[in-house]
Amino acid sequence: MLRLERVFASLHTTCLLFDQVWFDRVRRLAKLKQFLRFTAGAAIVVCAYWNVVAFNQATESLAPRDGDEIVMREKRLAPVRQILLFNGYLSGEIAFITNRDFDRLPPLPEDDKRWSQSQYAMIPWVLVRNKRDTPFLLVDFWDGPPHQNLEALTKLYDGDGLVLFQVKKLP
Amino acid sequence: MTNSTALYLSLALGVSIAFGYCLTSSLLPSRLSWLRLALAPGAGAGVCAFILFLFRRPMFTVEFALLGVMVWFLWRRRRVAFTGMNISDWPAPLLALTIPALTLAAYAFVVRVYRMPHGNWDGWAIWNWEARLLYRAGPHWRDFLPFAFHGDYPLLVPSMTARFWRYTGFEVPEAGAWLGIVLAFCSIAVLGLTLAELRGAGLGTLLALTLVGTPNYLAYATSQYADIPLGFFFLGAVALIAIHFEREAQPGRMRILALAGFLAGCAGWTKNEGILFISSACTALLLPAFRQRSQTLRRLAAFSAGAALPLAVIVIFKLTNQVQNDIVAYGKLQKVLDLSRHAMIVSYVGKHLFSFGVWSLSPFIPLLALIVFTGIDRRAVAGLGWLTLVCIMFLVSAGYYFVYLTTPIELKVHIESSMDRLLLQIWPSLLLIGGLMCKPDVRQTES
Repeated sequence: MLRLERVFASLHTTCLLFDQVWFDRVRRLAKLKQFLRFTAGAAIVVCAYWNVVAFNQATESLAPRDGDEIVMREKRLAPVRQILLFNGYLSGEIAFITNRDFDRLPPLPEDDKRWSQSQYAMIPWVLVRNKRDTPFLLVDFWDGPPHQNLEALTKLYDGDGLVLFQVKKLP
Repeated sequence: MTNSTALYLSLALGVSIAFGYCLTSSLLPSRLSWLRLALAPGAGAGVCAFILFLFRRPMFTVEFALLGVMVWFLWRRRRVAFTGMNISDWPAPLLALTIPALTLAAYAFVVRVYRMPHGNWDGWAIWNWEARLLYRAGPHWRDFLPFAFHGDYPLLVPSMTARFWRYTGFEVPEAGAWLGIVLAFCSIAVLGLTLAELRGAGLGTLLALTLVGTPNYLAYATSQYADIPLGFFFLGAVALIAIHFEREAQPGRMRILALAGFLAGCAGWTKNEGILFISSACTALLLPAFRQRSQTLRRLAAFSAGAALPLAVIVIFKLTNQVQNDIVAYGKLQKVLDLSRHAMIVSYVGKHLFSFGVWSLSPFIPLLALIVFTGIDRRAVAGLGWLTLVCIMFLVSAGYYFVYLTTPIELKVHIESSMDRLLLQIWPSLLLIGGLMCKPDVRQTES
């Protein structure tokens, strides 16, 4: 009987010890998990700030406002818009010509870029290419003097590489 | 920008936020009062864009008449307190972590908008182009759409820019950036608040910070593109669908879905990808029809009711617009069988998936670690709500994949010019879905 009691007592002690060890282990695991979670969270915060600061630095290196291509294009085309309005041409087609059109060559990427930027600045006029029977002609000599003599046309504006001609009288 | 211009721009923004707040506060329960506020600018932008498209000239009359109704509405509801996931309940360290990051981002926004007032290439060539048409071409603006770069694109972003110009009385180029910036901040707030509501403020803050710390996301916010507004509408709809499913016991759940439908509809009025999102959301909501027929149909009805007005406007625009979409080409379906196209798309996805944010320090490993160590909530992951969100995002991604597969544009050029933006559109929603995998914060659940 005494022996049985001893066995039970030792079993009980073993269980308690196991319980304690297990509890400690679980608690330690939970603590470890919490620590790892905190570390991951801290790493996310560091990443976020690192990236935002890098973004701010990249922003500082942007070209100044006056160097923005669209701002420059808007300034260049402002007098052309004024003249068209003054002439009572409120919207409609305007032929857009570059030296490639005079030379009957396909447009360069720079021609395309200048056409799209000019079109944006000139809305609601439509800058058409490969067409010259429009009331006005806008010529962009960005790469040097014109390859063709256009003196027969009425020049309305000439400045900063842009020339506006009137092709036909408005009704 | 002069003081009076800033004042008029603020007035335009204030009126649209008031519209949005009335809409969100009438459809969301008072517990979500901070979320109402975060969703208000987007919802208001949608309302104002529809007014401009449908009424055009008497825009001010309609807006101010509606504003009168709204003021009366707000006056009646003036006792509503900002309860629920209240900002003042957030632990101070979390707020202290977030505010400097937001301030830094705001500073960069101001500098970028000042130096690039017309935005980047697509900003002026597509969106501001259409805004100028709406503002400059008078009632004949539709006649000029065939000359636009993508004349079939929906008009929410250009409408908002043109509306700002109508308020100021002249063109302020920076006005095009307002919507992107405001909705970028709102996306950060919606992500943080939704996760705070459903999983805990800590997780909400960390994932919101991840979004703030995505440089390409911040860059596109000021580029005057439509991708950040679109991402906001995706996120708003997805967040509300998640709240609908996770707050089953609360009353007014169907109204939450109606607002989700409205935001999805606004996505459709922002970009064509939004139309794909609407159909994906409807399909995903319809999927449990075999198990819970009546409940599913009620959900779909609520979602569709919210999306009805935006969809009607989209249909009117598409039917009255002669310009056809030049990116989706269903006629070339034999491309689907071309394995080299599949291989190219997959290789580009692999290349862009971890770099689309242009991070200096990638957050993916810490994010993964956070989800793993917070513990994955198996019940939530197996739940209908989370699976619906995953299904929506899967269908949207599959739609993008199909468009690449059949594009009439040279595949390499198309992918390189758009994949990072497509990933940025779904990035806030993916962060939300990732956050919703985690176990909720026990302390918050108990409180």
